[in-house]
Amino acid sequence: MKFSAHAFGHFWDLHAWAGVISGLVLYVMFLAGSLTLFRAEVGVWQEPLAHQRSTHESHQAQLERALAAAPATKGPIWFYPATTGAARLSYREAATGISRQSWFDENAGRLVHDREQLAQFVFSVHRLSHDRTGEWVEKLAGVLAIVLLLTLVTGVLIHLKDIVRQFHQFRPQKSLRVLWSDMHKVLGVMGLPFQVLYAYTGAFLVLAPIFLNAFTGPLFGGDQQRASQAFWGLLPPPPKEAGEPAPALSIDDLGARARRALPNLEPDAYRLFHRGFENGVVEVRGRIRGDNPKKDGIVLLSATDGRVLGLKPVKETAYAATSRWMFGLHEARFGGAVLHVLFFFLALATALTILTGNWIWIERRVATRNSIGNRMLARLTLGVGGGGVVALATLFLVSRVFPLEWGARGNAEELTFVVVFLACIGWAFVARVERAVWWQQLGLAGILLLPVPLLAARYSSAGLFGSGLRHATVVGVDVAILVAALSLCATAWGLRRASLRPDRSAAPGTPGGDPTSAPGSELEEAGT
Amino acid sequence: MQEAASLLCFYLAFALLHGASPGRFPLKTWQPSQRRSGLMRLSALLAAAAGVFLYDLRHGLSDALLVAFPALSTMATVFVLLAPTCPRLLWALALACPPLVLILSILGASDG
Repeated sequence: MKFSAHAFGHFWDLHAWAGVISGLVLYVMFLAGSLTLFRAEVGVWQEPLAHQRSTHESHQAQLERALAAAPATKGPIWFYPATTGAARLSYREAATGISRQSWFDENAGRLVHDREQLAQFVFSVHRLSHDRTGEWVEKLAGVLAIVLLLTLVTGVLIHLKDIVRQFHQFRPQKSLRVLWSDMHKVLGVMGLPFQVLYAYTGAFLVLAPIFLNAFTGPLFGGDQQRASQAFWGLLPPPPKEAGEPAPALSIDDLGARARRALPNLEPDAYRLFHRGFENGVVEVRGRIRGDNPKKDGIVLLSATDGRVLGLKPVKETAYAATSRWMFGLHEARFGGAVLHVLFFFLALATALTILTGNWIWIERRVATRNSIGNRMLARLTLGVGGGGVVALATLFLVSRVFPLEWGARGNAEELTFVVVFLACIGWAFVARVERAVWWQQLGLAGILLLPVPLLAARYSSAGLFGSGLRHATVVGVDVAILVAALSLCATAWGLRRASLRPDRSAAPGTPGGDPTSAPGSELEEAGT
Repeated sequence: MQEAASLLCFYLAFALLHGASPGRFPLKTWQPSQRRSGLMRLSALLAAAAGVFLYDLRHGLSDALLVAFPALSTMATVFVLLAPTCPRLLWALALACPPLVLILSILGASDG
């Protein structure tokens, strides 16, 4: 299939402009997203209380011990029984009204408020979502996903005529410009199904609720409750009044009743309303075994007599089923740990596709006009590309350096991330030799990550360098960090060696490049 | 074990597909005929099907089919990007794949 020169030119411009405008933010999203795939594992690794050995007590006994240590609460209480670590409670303090998420420290017999936000913060960076930045930035992530889809479609159209050849072609022995071009096409073509999947599901997850809310007025007369019922098939709301004090059934008993009502339910959380009163109800929540992607189930029961008041899903609504699939695919809730590792590499490959795309753009522009805008984009690509990796590495380092009991550690970690990220961008702008910045920043990231597993042994003995009983997840994360650190150092060493070779033209926009090289001919050779 | 065997199958599948073209065949002294290239492509298809089958044993068919695409994408990316710099290593691994897949599958089956 061959397009006219006019159509081809339009597709190329659209692909290039859409890519260059959205590229660097998408790069950060994919970089953080690659780590977010291991959010659950990092969540366990970061909190020493999650490494405690399970007490094998009944859920009711765990709940009673945790509640005995809790202050007076108001509103519903969430209880997450211990599986491998400590049990958790989520509640609102009656005296202050502050919402708390706390771990129950078995050894000390006290509640410890959530203190480490590393996994959650990386997830926030991936979603562009933070309390301080407001909702609109998160919505922007959905728009960027649409732009990514547009870039992918135009990219396929541009390369349609020789897509199979580009599938197999990589020529590192040629100039750096050809190398970027080949790498962009190989990574882009090979990663296409993954990139389309993430762009589509990402756009759906962010933007679909906005579009559905638009129907609430005309279809449901503005009744949000009825609209939610139609979209999600929600459970009936719990009674508003608590009623008289009354004895409650144990949550183990309620869990067993929930399993009878919803076969294959594996209870992993309980939500308690009006505990100890006649109108008390309990939501038993958990995964439903056997469904793919994993399906969550909820059974609402009366806490006093164990009657089933509602369950979900009885019949999954179309929107709920679509969302489950979209979330399932986006968060890789299928296929086991192997798929997470594969998606991790594909996410990194996508991040690299974005950077190489920017370098191709810069090369094409520099070949005709070396404007200040192009030079700034070159520096920005360098700073964001390397800086994102350095900032994430620093985040892991400070999470094991800052005192665990320090109240401001969450804010301090976030501030460190932002300062290091901006500093790396600044470094790229002031560096005399641009091509050296890449290996220096990747090397720095490797060096920063290297001591993290060792420092982690300060807080927990369950890791790779700990002296206590090992925890498989903690050891796994320690090993992964070590491998990542060594890979970054090896990549930096390789890049440094490559940059010292005299036969290569310089990195894009580098003033120190070979002045006799003819960019135009190389671009022709690269087929861009 | 079966997951690792499955990934090796996908790796072998792409290696066969990559080598099926005369220009990309690893030996320069001997080039595959058109018929042999066709056989290599068929073998690639069978290797990919074996990968799906092995993953299915552990995780079910829907998971196996969903994993096939990212597995093939990753293996293909690794193969194409490393082929110019360390071709011997990549083709040696491709040659070692059939016995490795067999060993890992037997070990996986004996683990239950």
